[in-house]
Amino acid sequence: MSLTSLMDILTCLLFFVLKSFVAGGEATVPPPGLELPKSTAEQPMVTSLVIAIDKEAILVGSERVVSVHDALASDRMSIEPLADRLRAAREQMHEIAILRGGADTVTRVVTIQGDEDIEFRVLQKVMYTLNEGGFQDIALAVIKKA
Amino acid sequence: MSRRRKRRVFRQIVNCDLELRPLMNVFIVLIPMLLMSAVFLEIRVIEMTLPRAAIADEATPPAPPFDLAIRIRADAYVVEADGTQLAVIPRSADAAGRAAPDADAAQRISAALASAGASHPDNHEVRIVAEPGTRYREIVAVMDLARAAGLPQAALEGAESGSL
Repeated sequence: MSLTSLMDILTCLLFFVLKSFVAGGEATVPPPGLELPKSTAEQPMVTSLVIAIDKEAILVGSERVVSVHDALASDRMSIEPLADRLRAAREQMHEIAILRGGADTVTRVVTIQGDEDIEFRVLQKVMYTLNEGGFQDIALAVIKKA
Repeated sequence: MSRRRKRRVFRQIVNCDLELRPLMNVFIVLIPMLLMSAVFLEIRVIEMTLPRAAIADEATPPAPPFDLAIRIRADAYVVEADGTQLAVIPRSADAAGRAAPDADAAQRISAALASAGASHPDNHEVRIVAEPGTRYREIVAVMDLARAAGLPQAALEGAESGSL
């Protein structure tokens, strides 16, 4: 059985898949069920702390922190569970930066992966909490329009 | 007479074909794994910088020289410059269901931003004022329109609570 032609197809497919393979880790992929809005933005995503806001919950990394319902139920603009989690993340990043020898190189960039159907009030509270936590540089993740 | 003894020459037949089956095995494992983990959607980001919370305790920062704002209301998009309404673009009945601006509204918003920006070519900032119920996709769509009109620095603001 001649496998040469099948090898040609598999080789092309392998090179194509390797080229499109995103090696950024699982944090760059939105959680299941979260539809990012489409945009004409061109800036690529950088490695940063990722906060995902879907219809049900707010996640930091892949860890669920608080539900959207509980976040909106509070009269305060700041979301306490998220603020606590951000504080822990900031301390962790600071320790890592010290171990790497550069305490002043702590990155304060946060990427927000929000579902396109979430309301502005949720986003507003999350951004307010981030601002209070010392994270001023925010990147809103979107899907590039074709 | 001696007969020459024939020497039997055993010629070893060597198969010169490449053995592809081990390579096929590797490919059959590798390709499904890469296909499952590949991301075919390109993710991009819109960068924003929030005002430092500490500044709220300090002296009020100076107001920008030219204040351009886009208000997203349930019934219309309002383009304002220094507090003056430049354009009120009504939303269609479908758009009132919280969809992104339609083509006509997008064109009118872009035209209003372009005319406002013509008098201040150095200005690249715009405030996007959204109501609490505004969908995220609408905000991103308006940001895209602002960026296309030469206003890449967009600040988000709540209609009720003010800037973030």
